[in-house]
Amino acid sequence: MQYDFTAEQIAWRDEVRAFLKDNATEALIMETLEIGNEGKGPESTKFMAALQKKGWWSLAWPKEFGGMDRDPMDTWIFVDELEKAGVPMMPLTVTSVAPTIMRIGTEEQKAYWIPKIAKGDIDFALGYSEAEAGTDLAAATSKAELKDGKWIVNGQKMWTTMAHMGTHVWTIVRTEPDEPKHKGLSMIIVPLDAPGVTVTPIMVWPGLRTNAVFFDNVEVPEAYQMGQRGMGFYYAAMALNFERLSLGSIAMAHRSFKLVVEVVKEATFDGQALKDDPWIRERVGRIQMEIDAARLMTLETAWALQGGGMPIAESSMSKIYASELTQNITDLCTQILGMSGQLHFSDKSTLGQGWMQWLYRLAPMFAFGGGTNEVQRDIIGFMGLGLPKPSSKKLVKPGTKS
Amino acid sequence: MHPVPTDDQEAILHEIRKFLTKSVDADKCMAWEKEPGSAVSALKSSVAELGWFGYSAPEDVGGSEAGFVDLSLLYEELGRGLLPLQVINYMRGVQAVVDLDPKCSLLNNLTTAEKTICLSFDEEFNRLPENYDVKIEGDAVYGRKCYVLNAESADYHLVAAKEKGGLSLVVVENKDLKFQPLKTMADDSQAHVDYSGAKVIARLGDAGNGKEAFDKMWLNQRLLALSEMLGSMFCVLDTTVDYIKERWQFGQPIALFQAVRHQTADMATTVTACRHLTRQAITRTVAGTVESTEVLSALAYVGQAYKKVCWAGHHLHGGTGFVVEHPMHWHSERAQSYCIRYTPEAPFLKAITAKLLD
Repeated sequence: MQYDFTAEQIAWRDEVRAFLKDNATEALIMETLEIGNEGKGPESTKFMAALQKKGWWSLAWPKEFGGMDRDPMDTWIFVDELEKAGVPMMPLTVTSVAPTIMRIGTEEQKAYWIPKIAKGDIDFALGYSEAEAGTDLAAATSKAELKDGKWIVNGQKMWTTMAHMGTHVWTIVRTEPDEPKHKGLSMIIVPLDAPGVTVTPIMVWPGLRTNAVFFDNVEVPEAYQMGQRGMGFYYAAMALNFERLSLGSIAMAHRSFKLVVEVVKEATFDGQALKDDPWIRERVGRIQMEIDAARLMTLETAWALQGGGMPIAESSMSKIYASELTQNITDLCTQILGMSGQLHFSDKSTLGQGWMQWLYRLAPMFAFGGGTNEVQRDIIGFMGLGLPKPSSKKLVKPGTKS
Repeated sequence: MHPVPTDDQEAILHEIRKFLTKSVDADKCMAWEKEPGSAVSALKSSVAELGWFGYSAPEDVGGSEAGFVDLSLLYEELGRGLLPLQVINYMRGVQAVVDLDPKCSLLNNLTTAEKTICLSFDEEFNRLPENYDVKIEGDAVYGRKCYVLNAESADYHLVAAKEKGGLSLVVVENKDLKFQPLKTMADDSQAHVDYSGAKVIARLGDAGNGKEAFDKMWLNQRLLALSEMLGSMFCVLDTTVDYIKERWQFGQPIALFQAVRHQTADMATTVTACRHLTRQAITRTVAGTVESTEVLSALAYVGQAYKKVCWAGHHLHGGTGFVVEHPMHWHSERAQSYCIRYTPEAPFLKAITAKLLD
């Protein structure tokens, strides 16, 4: 048993750090705060181009698709360093959609879509949720009918982040209305510039933009339906599984915490050095302790993936732990910063770059987004601990008469 | 013991709630946020007509002479109804003057809102009056105050500053002051202010002798913050309970899921604890019957609990409560802003511990 990185992994981490030292500019970090770590602005476009040039864009892709075939531990190290540096995360097009196409697409579909994604010509927004189908994704009612070799798509998607900047939406729609709800959905790609697509902004609390996307008799080529018909729900789950490495990451909160620690080392309020305040010392220690635990939980997910496993319960634990810890970290650190803790990152007077105030507003989303923590707790129960699945059927206690 | 408002108080609260429901909604709040000062323009005169600016001020300066308990119930409703912070902060300014000098002649114009006043106390790295750097020399104020709410728009600034080795409380006009506007979480019109010889136009108490009066006034500000927080929590809880009954997932209202019910039950339990702590702290302060940690416990607990209730509300609303059009974020922003300004946990926990151990 060992917890240390190997010499190769340390060398890889240092290589990523050296790259970030040159490319994680102040302008990029500020832009990331303004538009979110999934956003696309001039600085992030430059940064992504630099990643592409290094070949890191398709870091974890198999070599046959032009990737570097880096293993999950290397990928974890890469994602961790990116988040700690405060730069944008890798687009879900690359880390989630592309690997799914590689698994479910026909040879023609792979040959058509993967090279375009690799070049950065295609950028997907994810169209899963609907107004009445959030956590209950299988309740989606947006539909597509096949007519004369074309899919006619109608309906509405919610929380479609990136739809105002992407080229296509990767979406699940009901194609088999007579099948049970989980088996009636298919995965379809809809070009965002197709006639009948309308994207309207939804602004959320941290000042970021997401979207509602409306489909009104949108015509899509038959070949844009991916994998088997009726399997869309499972493909969406597969795509989400590819996100598991970044789901429970604590790196962004860790980075912000380190900036606050620097403030604590230097600042004096009411004549007392913050670092001498027992209340602050206890809390700083507690946060670091919990960050240490959270990092190990995500590392275990990477380690299990490395061994060929699918650590579903482990990544659910990671997600719950990190999302709830992030809320606590932002809350405590905002208080530690005192009156300055309420300042926006764009304010010149702010201490610790204002990350904590921004994260404070973003943090609730980590707990209800990406599969609510309630659902994650259910997953831990039945997939991790072998507890019975929640059921709506009336059960009969063994040994009793029905 | 009678831990709930009387029938008379309930009747008044009903009227206050009616006004706020009619005058403040999410669409209006969104519009007010886009145009600084518009909330005050829209509401100032009707709030003045209701007598809220001078709610506890003496009648001869235009006040309604309400007691502090009634005032605190008004503030509960302001928190519940999300009266814009700019308006509340002007009300707080008047209340501070009432607490410091109820006979102050400026109150005649402040209670009618013909003039407005802001509170200028904090400094960049000093919150305790004994550490202030801002000074009064002759009849002028010198130095820099920070995080001043409504600093740019208020007609007057009530400044706490060092003088003659002690603390003085003075009023200066908003004339030739230099401002550094701040962008804050609650979008509540704060600024740093430079007073380079701003002339004192009124004194609230004797020169250098204001520490005791300041502490009493500031305690009242904190207690009113507790009331606002409590009212806001009532609203978050009610909104969340309504939402989980309406929101269906997996073929049923999410209120039927045990995990959701338990969180709502925890919210309700926390709000109940806050209700008792807040109202006890206020009524016993007014009655002069504080024996030990009653006020300190309220100040340490309620703010932290407020944030937890707001976060649970956010969580149970999911994406619906995360959009800027939904009121939930205004409650959450106030939660942390109020904790930082009025009820930081650490000093009150330390004070409780000191009472027990020292």
